[in-house]
Amino acid sequence: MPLKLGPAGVPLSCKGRTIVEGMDDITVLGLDAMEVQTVRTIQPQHFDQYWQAGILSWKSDFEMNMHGPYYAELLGNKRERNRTLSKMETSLQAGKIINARHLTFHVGPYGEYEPGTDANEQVANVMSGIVERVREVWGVEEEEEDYAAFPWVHESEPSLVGIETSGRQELWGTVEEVLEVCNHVEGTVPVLNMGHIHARGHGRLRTSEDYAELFDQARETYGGSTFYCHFAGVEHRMGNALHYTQIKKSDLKFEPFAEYLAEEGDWMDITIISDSPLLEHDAMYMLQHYDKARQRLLEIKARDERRAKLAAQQGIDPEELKKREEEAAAARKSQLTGETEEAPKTPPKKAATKGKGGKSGGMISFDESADEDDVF
Amino acid sequence: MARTTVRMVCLGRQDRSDCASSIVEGSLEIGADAQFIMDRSKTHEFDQGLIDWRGILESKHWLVVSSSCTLDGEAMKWAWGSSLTFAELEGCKTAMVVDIPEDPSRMEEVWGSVIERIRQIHLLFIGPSAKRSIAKLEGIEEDLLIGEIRSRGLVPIVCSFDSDNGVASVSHSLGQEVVEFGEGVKLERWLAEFLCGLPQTGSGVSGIASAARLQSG
Repeated sequence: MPLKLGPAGVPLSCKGRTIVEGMDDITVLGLDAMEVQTVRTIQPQHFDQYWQAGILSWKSDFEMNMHGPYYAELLGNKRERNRTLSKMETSLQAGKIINARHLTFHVGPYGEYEPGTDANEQVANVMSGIVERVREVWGVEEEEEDYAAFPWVHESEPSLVGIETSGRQELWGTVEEVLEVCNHVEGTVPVLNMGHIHARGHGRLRTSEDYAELFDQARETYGGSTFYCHFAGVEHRMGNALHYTQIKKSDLKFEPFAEYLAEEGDWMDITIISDSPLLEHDAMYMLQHYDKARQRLLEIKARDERRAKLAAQQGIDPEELKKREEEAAAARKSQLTGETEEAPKTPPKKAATKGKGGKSGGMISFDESADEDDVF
Repeated sequence: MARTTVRMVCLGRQDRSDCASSIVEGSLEIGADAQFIMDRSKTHEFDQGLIDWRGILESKHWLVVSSSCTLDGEAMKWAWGSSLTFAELEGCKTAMVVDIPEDPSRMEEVWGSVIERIRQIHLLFIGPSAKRSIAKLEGIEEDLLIGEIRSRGLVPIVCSFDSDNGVASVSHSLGQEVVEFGEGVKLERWLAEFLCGLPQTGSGVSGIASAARLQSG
């Protein structure tokens, strides 16, 4: 399964602040994607940086993406919509220079529309216009010579237009709305912001089955296998995202997502962008959990294969062998427990204390929550 | 209930001419345990690599940071960014004080840096003149600015203080508070009280309201 992971922006730990320096750092960390934030303004002096980043991504396997204006009013009145579209136009141009695979856009408040078909149709109309514009901007034959230094413009597919789910009830962008529009507009891709989906669904993403349900819904409605996701911890209330947090401090955990991806994600081509306050730290955290989930899966597969072979050699059913192994393991465990109870108690080893020593009273806890003390 | 001492650290301009430094000085006057990351005397020796961030930020309630630091050279800009990340890691909440830089034409640069780090900010204070300037940059009406920034950036608390009329406005995840004090209350003093009050009152609706009114009480 192609999985790409990276931060939303130049890594926090990057000494330089240019995109290319950020890309270098991301690669060193073992990550392979980045989402450039053009959330506010794009200035002409950034274009040189963008081109360098585009070249680097074209020559390597590094996936560049771009996030459009952080607030949009596509369902607003004509003036509001045009203001948003002009900001988006700048992102489209920058996306071409940087060789962005995905351009992520928000839709914004419902405005005068009620949630439903009319609003979705309006978003679909605007989005199809944006897709058309992206295609115009990319690969105009007459401009081929002008873009000799930008080979991807003619040799690569244009950026996919990502439509992001929203985290608040008053904003357009439930999973259903996003999938419906993406299903109707070719060239768009759903941007599943897990923090937003979790918040808007009153904490709906808790187990790997919840993720399975979400992606099954996506598979049935949208039909594609390309996904672009954002992941960060989130604090939420009454179906609204309140603010972003690091993953460890949120009730939205990455482990179930990693488990789902490792077990059932073979059909997907997925990019996950960390937009947590701890950008690359949390991207690494996600990578580690994904690797762990895959490792666990491989171990289970290897064990099942070994069991099948042994069962065949012994001429018994693998299930029967499994039962016997479990019985033997239980017996071993009870024997060990008995021995421990009988064994004389040895003084506990002196463990390293965290921070100020001496206050723990000899009890050492490695509970993760110890790191998460909130002084409030 | 006994008031616990609020602990805060400040990363402001080295000459302490910025609003964040004044607020922390104000907090000291009302009994906070406040310290500055850089001594004034070390102006020429500043090396951000030597700062023990974990040691400084451990068990602090607030890191108070000035937006103007981003224009004070590479080392300071780097320290500014690091402070936000380490505060997040250490569970110390960040209060970002946005004021107009010495060179007002660089306000867009300053605001761009703040926006880049918006997710690491817990409390964003926008000074009165900075508010006008940002409203213009963002194309948002000044009266709607703090609410819009809060909902766009998902910052838990965005606030401002109108010094002329003595009115504090606080927009937070659960609503909005406007507290009128009248003339005579200074911006720095109000924010110092607010920062010292929040850890005591909590960050629920009534907690934020009480902390915002502390000065009037």
